[in-house]
Amino acid sequence: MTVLGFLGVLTLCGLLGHGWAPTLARAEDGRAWRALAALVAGTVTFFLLLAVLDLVGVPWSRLSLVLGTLLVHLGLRSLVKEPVVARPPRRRTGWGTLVALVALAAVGLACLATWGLNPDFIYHWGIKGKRFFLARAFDFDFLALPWSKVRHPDYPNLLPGLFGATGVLAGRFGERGMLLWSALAFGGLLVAARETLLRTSSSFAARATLGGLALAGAAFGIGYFTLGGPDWLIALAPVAAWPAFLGTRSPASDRAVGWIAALAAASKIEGMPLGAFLVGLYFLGRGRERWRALPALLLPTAAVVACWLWGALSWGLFVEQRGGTVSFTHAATLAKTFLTTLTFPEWHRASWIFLALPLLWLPRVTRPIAAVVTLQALFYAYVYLSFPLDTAEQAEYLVRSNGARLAFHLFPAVVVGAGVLLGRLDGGNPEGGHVGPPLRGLEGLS
Amino acid sequence: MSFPSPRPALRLLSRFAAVAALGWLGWGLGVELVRAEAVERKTRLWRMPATVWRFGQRQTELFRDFTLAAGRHVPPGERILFLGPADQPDTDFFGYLWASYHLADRTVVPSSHPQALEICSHVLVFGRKLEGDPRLELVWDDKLGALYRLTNRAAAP
Repeated sequence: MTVLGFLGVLTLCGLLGHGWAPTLARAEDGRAWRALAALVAGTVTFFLLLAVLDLVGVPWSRLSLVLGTLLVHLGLRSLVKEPVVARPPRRRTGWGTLVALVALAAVGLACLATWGLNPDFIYHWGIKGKRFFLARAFDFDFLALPWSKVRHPDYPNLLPGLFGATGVLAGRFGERGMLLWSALAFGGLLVAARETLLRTSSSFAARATLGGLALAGAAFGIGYFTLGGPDWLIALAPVAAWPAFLGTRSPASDRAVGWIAALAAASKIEGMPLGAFLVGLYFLGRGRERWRALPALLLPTAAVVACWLWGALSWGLFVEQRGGTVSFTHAATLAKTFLTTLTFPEWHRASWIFLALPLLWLPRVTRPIAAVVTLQALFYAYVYLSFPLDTAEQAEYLVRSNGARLAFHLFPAVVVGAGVLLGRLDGGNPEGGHVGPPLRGLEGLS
Repeated sequence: MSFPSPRPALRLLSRFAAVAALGWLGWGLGVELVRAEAVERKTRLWRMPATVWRFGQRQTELFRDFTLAAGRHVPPGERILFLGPADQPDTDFFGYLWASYHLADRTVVPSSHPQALEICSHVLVFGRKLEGDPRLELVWDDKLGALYRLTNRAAAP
């Protein structure tokens, strides 16, 4: 039954995305990526709708969710007057897509069988979703309880909100339907990777990389118990945004990056800097039009952050112990343990791909994503180095508990980048992997 | 930066490496699926520390049945204090997290909360029994633990 609830919420998100779709498409964008960008916009809009219903005191119900979605959809259809964009070009990945579908089916199976369920689903994300389902709203009273501090009450609530809405449409809360959100994010990740690879890599390299990413991502995702957690959404964001960095930068790609950054920001606290890096780097490379692009780039994230701050500040949810000064006392232990997490068996040595990260700075086509990955990795290093730690054992425990998960956020982007490099070795791409204007301000770094 | 045209040998080598990597990763996915399925069937993990409890294991299913059965004796909205085994602080903490997930329509309070005895109406004890405390009235008993009603909260320390 909760699977039907998932399909119901997905339909509502798709409907909202359909309203945004004409504003997000460029002539060179493929059909699947256009649909992904629209779904991302629709999902973030649905999250904002949940927040607005909460704000005006309307409980989430089948009627309020469907009616609210229809109203917003009709509003978008009447307001959005974008010209019809040319039919998307046909590009094929052949057996690469087949391998990706097999891996996606494996993740779908794991979700339906509730294998690989993230322990944090029980501790944080799932319990929040369950409480939101029971309260028919974002249950900030629950998050504000003194003993809820262990549940990261100050995190943004996109995923628990989707869980709650899934339960509302299904009429009950169950794990199967909730886990399918991870499978959907994985599917979106593969769609975005396929789009980038088809436009920048050779035919063989595109197929091999897409297949490799799908197999490695599925193996790690299931084996490391990540299903039902928000890490898939964070991993999706940089890969989903990459096609917008390719080709002609236009108001459509501005909006796509804006929505994808908002998705990252709404997913988890780590997604906030990631969204900022995506917007900032895209903005730097936008050329003369950059200031005109700024509202489209910032507004979705600003709306998400406003919702987050409204809840967190009104209910006093911010947990102490965030940020701080950097200390290198345990830097060696932190670094050594992080490298150990890259050798965890669930990687099946696919994490070796991180060795290719410096090479991604070389070609112009991979440089923006190399910058995003590097900045996000530096942010994680800052978090580790500024965390209050008394002993080396504490430092080791800290990194062991989340190092592999943080690496997983960046893994798909690095794999796709490596696929682009492999394509150069394999004869290049017929479309030439055209990337927009140069990233001003970053040339000196390469 | 432009790359030179690849030599045929290099091209062949890169293709061979990519296919080998695909085969390796496909094998890895198979291994993880078999492992994930095996987690479902594991029954000998009951003594595993609660830090590595995973959804679908026999032990967590028994724990779920235990908490849900106890929860049926507590009206919705009530607060329940969760107590794990006295000598296992991990089980006390993670057990609280699991119990509060299963009993989301009640409010489960961890034993670490200083006013827990004053604000809770019931005590759910896992892995042991509490005897001889005049404030506690046994409501439900099970081989995994017991549920008590707090009868004299004002007298709590």
